[in-house]
Amino acid sequence: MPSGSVKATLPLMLRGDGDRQEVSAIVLIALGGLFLLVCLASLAVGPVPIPLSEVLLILIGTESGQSAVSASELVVRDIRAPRTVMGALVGAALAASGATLQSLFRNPLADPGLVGVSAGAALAAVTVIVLGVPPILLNTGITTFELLPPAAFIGGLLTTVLLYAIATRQGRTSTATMLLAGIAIAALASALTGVLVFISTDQQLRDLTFWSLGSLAGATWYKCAAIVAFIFPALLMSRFVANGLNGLLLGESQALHIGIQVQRTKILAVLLVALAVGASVAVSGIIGFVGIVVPHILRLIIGPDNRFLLPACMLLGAVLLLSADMIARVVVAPAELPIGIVTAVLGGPFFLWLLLRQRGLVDV
Amino acid sequence: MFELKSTSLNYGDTTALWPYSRQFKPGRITVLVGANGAGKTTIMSLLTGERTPSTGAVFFQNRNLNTWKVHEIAQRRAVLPQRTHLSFPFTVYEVVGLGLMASTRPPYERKRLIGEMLARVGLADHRSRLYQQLSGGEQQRVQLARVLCQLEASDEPPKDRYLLLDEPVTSLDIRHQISTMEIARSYASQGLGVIAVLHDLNLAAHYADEVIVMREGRVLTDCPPAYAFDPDIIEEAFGVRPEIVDRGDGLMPFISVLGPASPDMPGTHGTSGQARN
Repeated sequence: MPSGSVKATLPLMLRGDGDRQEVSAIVLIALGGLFLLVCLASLAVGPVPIPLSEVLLILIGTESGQSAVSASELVVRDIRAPRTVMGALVGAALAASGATLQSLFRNPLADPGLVGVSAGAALAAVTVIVLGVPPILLNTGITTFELLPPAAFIGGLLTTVLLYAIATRQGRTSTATMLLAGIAIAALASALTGVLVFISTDQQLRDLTFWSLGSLAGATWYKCAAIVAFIFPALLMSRFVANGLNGLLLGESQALHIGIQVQRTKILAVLLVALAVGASVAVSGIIGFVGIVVPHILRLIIGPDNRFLLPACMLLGAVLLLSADMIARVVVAPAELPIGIVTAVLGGPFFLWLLLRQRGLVDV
Repeated sequence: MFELKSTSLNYGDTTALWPYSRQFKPGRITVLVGANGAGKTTIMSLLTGERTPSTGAVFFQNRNLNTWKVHEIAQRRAVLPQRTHLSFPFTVYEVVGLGLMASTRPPYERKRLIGEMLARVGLADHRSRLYQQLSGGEQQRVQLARVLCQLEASDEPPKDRYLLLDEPVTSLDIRHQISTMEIARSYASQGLGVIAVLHDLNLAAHYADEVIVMREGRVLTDCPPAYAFDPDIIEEAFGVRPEIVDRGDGLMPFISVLGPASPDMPGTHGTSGQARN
């Protein structure tokens, strides 16, 4: 056993008796505090900085008491607040889906991008951008822009259902088949997306680029409301799959032996991922690495117990995405970087480092 | 009580187990032996509910196994697999705690149980180590502690609890092979049912109350070890020629292998015989 490399992977805050529940509780509380701070910062930071004191006053509502609405208040209320809420939701959804998929596949490198859920959602969205509103819906007056979120969601869901149908025989889901089928589906979806990109016009190409890099720009309360309906149930569901996912980490047959309803756990987990990822991709495009980086950092601190890992992932995922978004907003102000570039620049090297460091441990 | 009623299992055209009926009574250690692919693990997977029989049925406490809820059965029988790989950095303590998934015990009792079971398998001072860092044998003992936790947390009477061991000692050194089998024996003497797959015939001879010798999906013999380990039966089951040394001190005979089976033995129709010709 390569003892040197193994030592380096010891959890940072391992308690003497091997029980990390108390540490986990403390970490959760700390993350909750950090999350609130980052939310406030996200309201204050931007091309036009607004002092924290003013942000707080606007939040409490005393500012608008007497006169006309100030510019700062407009910025905070209509631009930054929905963007913050959306960023928090998307970050929480991506990190929790990543952790869920990793437990489901018993593979710490699994990611929503890997099993084709993101690619499926993206394909549906790109189809809408390039081909426009389908003739059946023309009379409803719906715009391309409005059709994007539901299309991406349906794409993500269809991919997941297809994946599940391929990998399930006689009521049993083969994880290996599911993983491989996911890779194949992702490749197919990317190829079809490529064809669409090839036939797109210049303006569409701009939209597509923006979209495929991922961005929180253009957040509105309307979009927030649309994804909250998907993401909130998904995050709540995590409470009910956490124990089952823990059991699945022992392998499917042993999960059954210790009293886990394996099939039910898998269905709920897949549904959770489809809801969360579909909704996220719909409003913010493909934002990579959050689903892999966040669960990994947290496992080092609190361990792989999903009862604590999933809520911690939601908080840290939100913190990470909001921080990345702040960087995206200020680094080239008044223009802004797509957030996907920021997460890729931060997450790519991290992922590589993880792979290199893990090499010794994977087969132990 | 576990019971197979004309149970068989086919994988496509291959028959892993021909129709077989048997009761597995509590309070005894029943050991399954046989060559690779003889059907031992097939019987195990039928008893655990992992596989559904092709014909017949598996009964537990006179109820068809598939009518039991997963968590109900988990409170009554625990299964130790051949090996368990974990991809995530659980501590030893946390792995053992997974055995309490179906339990309703309060936290302080869980903590006590986990500590006690780790002590029982001799790993009390390893509780905060990472499972992935342990040797194969230590990992197997951690899994044993997890399985014991699952059994100990049950409120059912001993006779309604079963310990299923699938090659429990394969990765263990001799000392821990013995201590694992001693643990199994102590549970059997408390009245629990123990069903184990073993490769070591001497361990089987020493610890089994009943031995089921299997070959190619069929049961060759099913009786106490003193009768089961007849040279002809071993030769037929495994395709090797054994020498059985009776030490004359009332202990179980010692079985050693002299070489491949003689050509005229029925056992040589099997895989090993064909390979030799």
